[in-house]
Order: sequence, then C-alpha cells, then structure tokens
Amino acid sequence: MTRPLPRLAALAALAALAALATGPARGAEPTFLVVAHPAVAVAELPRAQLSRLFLKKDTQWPDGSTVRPVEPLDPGVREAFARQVHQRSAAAITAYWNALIFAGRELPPLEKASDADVLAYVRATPGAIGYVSAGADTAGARIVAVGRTP
Amino acid sequence: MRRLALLAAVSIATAVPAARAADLNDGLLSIHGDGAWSYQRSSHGNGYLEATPIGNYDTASFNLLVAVRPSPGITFNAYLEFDPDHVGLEWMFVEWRVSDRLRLRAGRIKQPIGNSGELQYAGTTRPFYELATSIYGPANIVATSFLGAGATGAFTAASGWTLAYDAYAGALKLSELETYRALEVPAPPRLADPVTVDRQQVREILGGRLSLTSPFDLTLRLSGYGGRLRKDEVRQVTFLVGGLSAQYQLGRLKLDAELFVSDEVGIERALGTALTAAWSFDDHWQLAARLEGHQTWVANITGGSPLLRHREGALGLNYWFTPALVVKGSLHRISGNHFAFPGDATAQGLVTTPPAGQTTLFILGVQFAF
Repeated sequence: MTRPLPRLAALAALAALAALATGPARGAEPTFLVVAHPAVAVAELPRAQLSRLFLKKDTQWPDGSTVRPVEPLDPGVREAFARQVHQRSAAAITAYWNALIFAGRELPPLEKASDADVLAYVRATPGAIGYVSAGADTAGARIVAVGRTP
Repeated sequence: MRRLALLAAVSIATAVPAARAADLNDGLLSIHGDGAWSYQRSSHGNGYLEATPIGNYDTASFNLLVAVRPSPGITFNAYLEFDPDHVGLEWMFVEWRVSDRLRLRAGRIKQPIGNSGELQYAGTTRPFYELATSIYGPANIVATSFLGAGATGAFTAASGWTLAYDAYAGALKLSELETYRALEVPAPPRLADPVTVDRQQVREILGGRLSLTSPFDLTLRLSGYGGRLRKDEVRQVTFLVGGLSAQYQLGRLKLDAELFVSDEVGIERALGTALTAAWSFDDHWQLAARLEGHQTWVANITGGSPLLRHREGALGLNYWFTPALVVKGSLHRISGNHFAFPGDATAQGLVTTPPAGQTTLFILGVQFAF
C-alpha cells in the first residue's frame, strides 16, 4: 500500500531532471538582437540557418552575395547567443573554431570590441550580419527576428 | 611556494580571455597561434616520442598561422613552425572559394586524412598531449601535409546532415622508424647507423576523404590515398593507404576511433588503430583514456618481433583553464619496441641486445591557442 508515494517521488524526480535538461524557460526574453546591413532582404531567419551563418557553414545570401558575420566580445552576449542559436556553450563554439582554424579550413567571424563597433560595421558593410545586446541602439541596421522553427 | 603556484595559475587563467587572435583591417589579415611545452620522461632505458629516460624538458614549440584575404573568395594561408630543432613552413596555400560546395586549393596543404590529420600541431583540439603514435606518429601512414592541389567542399541538408569531401593530387613525405631493419634477410646496408626517423616521398598521389556528419554529433570518415614510392635509385613501388574513422560527442563524453592500413605493395604492410575516450566532469576537469596498436609485416622478415609491434594504453587528466589553454598530465604503458627503444641504438644493436619490451611514459605539459 505504500507504493504510490515512491512512484510519485520518482515522477517528480523525472520532471525535475527534464526541467534541468531543457534549460531556461522558452518564453524568456532574448538578451541579444540580431542585426544586418539594411540591404540584406531578410526579416526573419530560422535558428538553425542563423547558426550555420555564424559557423560559416553557409557563406552566401540567397542573392549570391557574401555573408559577413560579426560578433561582439561581450562574453555574456556571446554565451546567450551560443546557447540560444547554436544550442551549445560558448566554450564549445570556441573549441569548434579552434579545430577549423588550425586545420586551415576557416576563420571565425570578425570580432568587435563593443555593440557600437558591431553596429558600425553592420551598417557600413553590405552582407554583414551580427548580434548585439538587447538594449543597444540599432538605428540604421535591419533587425532580424530569430524564427521559432528549428 | 604553493601560494606562488596558485598565483601563477590564477594569473594565467585571468589573462587568457584577452589573448585573442589579431584581426587587422576588418579581417584582411588574421593572425592565430598555438604553442606547447611538456616534460616527458620514459622508463627502462627506452626513449619514446620526445621522452628520454632522464626526462626531457626541451620540447617547447610555437606555431604561427597567418591568413590574408585580399577578397572574399581568395585566402592566402601560411603556418610557421618554431621548435627546438628548426624553424619551418608547415603549410602554405592559396584557396579560391567558388562556393561552399567547391573550394580549390594549391600549395603545401595539410593532408586531409582521418579525424586529426589536419590537426597534428593543435594541442587544444584533443584530450592527450600527443595524437596516437600508431596512426599519426612515424608509422608510415599519415603525412603532415602534401604538395599539390586539391578541392574541398560540403553539402548541408536542411535536416542537419552534412557531407564533406576532399580530393587532392601531388606528393607527400611520410615519416617512418625502421627499427626492425636488422631482421631483414638479406641484411640491408647501414645497420651500424643510429635508428632515426626516415622520411620518404610518395609521388603522383591521388587521395580523398569523405566525411558524413549527423545532426547528433556523430562523424564518420573514409579516407585514403595512393601513389608511387621510390625505395632507391632503381626501385619504385605502389604505396596505398586507407582507413575508417569515427568521432562522437554526447554531452560531456567524446569518443574517437580510427583504423588505418598502409601497403608498400610487395614489401611491407602496416596496420594502425586507436580508440580514445574523454569525459569532462565540468568545464575544467577532463579524464581521458586511449588504447592503440600498430603492427608491421615485412616481406623479408619471418616470425614476429617486438621491433615490429607497438601497443599502448594511456590515462590522462587535464585541466582546461579555457578551451584555448590546457594543462595535461598522462601516464602511458607501452609494449613493443617499434617506437620505444634506447635513443642511441643502432638497427644491429636492437637485435643483438634487445631493449626492454615494456616502457612507461609520463607527460606533463601545457598547450594553448589564440
């Protein structure tokens, strides 16, 4: 007769584990904004495609022009972008780039010291795409929504 | 003393995030580098890798990667190597990116083979200080680079699967340790010379690699090459290499398995295999284990000998300050004398006075990249 309680406890433990595995709540506000050069004719990009652009697996826009990704140095924004877009830690992304750099395969996206520097590059460079902290002044750049589809 | 060591460790850990690559003129010129230093000590009078029985401190190396992109589709790459013995150009090539599916390369290019053929100098990309000797050492299987031209590219499906290919042609230099030469019948010349790493050029090579990567971080690779190997002034033989490789990452577990065969047709065959597993407890501590083996069969040597054999088991413990700075310690147990033997031994001496069949190796080192 004492069986239901352990079963309940096991279910609760499983639920807790599942919650830990899925990470932050899906409805949480993003801590970054994706910005692109005004001439980039894209209003929304699926998460997986955005990941491929920043991992340089796709290097051309649909019109054939070159994608020029740029990233801020801010570790907090990079971690948030890595977790939400690449679905990996920023450390794992660094390890990914180490392997490509030293194989002579590819170089990582350009890095800029501040949000303002990222935005200045994005505004001035055709094909550029970057991300900045959510509070940055993005005037003059196109905001690109991250699609909810994978 | 302990406080000083701790202070040094903290200084390194806090300094590293600032050690970034240099990008000049919005990526026109990029400079990266990697370096390593280790203390390596072996036992039973045998040397192995850079290890000596009295302990070797003289292992520091530094490599500088310079990439210039005069236009979005063109890249010039050079990789300069500095170590205690020499300064050299490890690779240098020009790449024309036609599209993500076709990139053309020419020059001296890292050999695309196996899981780690292109990453032999980048210590921060692996759990052990050195790659498996049975495949990436002087084992007559993998070169560091080839001279010639090649094509590479990747096809990514919307489902997340990626198929990447490499195709190349030209020439390459292989490293080999012929510790077993005095066993050959009839006896070859120069048996009284010290045993050192021989380099032999394979010419007219054609090679390739196919890599299939799944969305769940499993990569399977099929790679190989073939060409003509000049044995001496008159003899040329066909030389073939082929192998299968797999890499898998599941959370904190990383697995790496490889099997390669090489064939100097009619003269010598070799098989090399390695299995590596690494478990990260957190972002810093990592435990690693590796089993590897290499066996050589030579046409004019009958019977087995420890000089034809290499077996190795290794356990490692690493502390990653960041993904770009790691301290690695490992203990290796080696059976066989193909690669582990006294440093000043001659081929004849290894037969008349056989070295100890078992060797223990200890490595403590640091590797970094920027």
